[in-house]
Amino acid sequence: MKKLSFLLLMISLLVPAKSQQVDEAARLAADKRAQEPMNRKVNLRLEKATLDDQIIELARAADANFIADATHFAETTAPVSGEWEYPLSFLVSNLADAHNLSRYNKDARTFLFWSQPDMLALAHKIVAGESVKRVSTPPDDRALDALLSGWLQRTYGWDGRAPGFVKDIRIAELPPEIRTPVMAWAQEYLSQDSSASALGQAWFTDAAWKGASLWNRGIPSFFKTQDTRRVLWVGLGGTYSSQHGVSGGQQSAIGLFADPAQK
Amino acid sequence: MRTRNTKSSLPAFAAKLIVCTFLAMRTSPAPADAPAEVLRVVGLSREPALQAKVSFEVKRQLLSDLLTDLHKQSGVTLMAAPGSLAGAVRVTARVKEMPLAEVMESLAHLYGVSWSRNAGNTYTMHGSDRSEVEQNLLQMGSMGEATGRYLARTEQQRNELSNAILAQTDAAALKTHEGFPVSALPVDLQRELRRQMEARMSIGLVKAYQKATEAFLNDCIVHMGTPQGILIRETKDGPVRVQQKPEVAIYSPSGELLLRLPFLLPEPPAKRPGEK
Repeated sequence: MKKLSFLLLMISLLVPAKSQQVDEAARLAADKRAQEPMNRKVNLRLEKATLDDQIIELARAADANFIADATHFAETTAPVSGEWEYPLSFLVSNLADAHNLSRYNKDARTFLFWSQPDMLALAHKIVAGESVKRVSTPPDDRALDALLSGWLQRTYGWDGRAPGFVKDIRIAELPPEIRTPVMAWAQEYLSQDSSASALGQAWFTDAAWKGASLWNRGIPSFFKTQDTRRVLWVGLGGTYSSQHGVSGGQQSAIGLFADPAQK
Repeated sequence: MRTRNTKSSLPAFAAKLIVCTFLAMRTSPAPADAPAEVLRVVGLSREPALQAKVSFEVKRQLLSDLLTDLHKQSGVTLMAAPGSLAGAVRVTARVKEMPLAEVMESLAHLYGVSWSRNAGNTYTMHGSDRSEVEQNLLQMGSMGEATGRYLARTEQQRNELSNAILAQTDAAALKTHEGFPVSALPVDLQRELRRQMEARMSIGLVKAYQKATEAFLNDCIVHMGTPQGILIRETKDGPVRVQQKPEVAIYSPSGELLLRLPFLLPEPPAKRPGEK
């Protein structure tokens, strides 16, 4: 099971998730509307602008609200001058990339920024057991079903079957007696899929690395893209072996997928 | 943004209640028994006093100073409780005509703080009760973007490492069932290999845990019901008409489907002849 979940995690990193069919045209329309400000071209002119200046000037140029946690911004940044005209999404990404910022779109016009934390250090903490706070003991699927059905019946008079009834609500806006179990249920499923313990045992320990091996079997088809000739990747021995018709071993293995023509 | 686990945070809640009440007594002429009410972030948007629009441009300003400026603009008193970090964290921002409630929500998301209402137009900012890991998970922001940037930034490093390994290993051994032991690589290559691999695996791990944080889930949409109409599903035997089924699903703020659960409702009881 651990190997399977690990493989799923690997695939989820590499293979763009197939967008699920969402049947509500309204949702798509709303998403499109939300994206519109990001696609709008913005003219940005900077003169000897520091990071703080860049944030403010870009917000002004886009007529958007930018709020940044500047606590850990570098004391000095090389000033930037120039003029650009690009979609807002590009300019924001460029700014974030240049200064290692992370961002969150609070709404179509409001952007929050932080200095991006060290992802590897964070992963080590998670693997070591520091996790997210659980709001409550999660209900099982049937209990959640019964809870929601009862609430929808009482609140909206929906019998749980009649087509045409669709309700979208922010989790924060649900009444507390519904919000807590819904959140606990979601937390249970979402953290269950993360395979932290499998990863921790497989790769975040010295022992795993001592027993690891490298393989070079050419590039699997799903790695082949126009601009990728060499890919270094990891997997577990058993999983990789079974995919290639070789009896699986217990030893950890790293795939070193290289274009055979290169060597 | 958060709600409270009444089980685990009851003592903290009670302590904050006492602090808020004390502050309210000191700063406003309201009756001493006026309770301080801890507001969930979402509650802020429903506060009439917080609909005043504010504008500001600040560079690395202390959050405590920004709260003073916001008070001057809106007439609403925003206080910082001891330990709320307001005197320790800095803000760079440009905001134009934004409702004060939304500014307060944004500050809550940025720093993990929460707000309580005291008597009158007075609100108190409280420190974060998020763990460092939870706060860091939220500070990763939009993980899709962070992932793309990370992969692009490290592509050259990855290729250089591949070349270095290929130069140090026996090509034939790499193609065997046993492979080539990592421990036989030079130590610096082993170290770099481990660093790059762990960093890459971290993305999925962090992404999954970020989605499980309370603050992230609060912004998600829970979708319930039975859509109108019939789905046409392509099968190997041709298109099939499928009746839509009742379900509950959770979507991220950006519209990504996170979870889906079909409703397992019992069939309605069969109607007897003549029954309406």
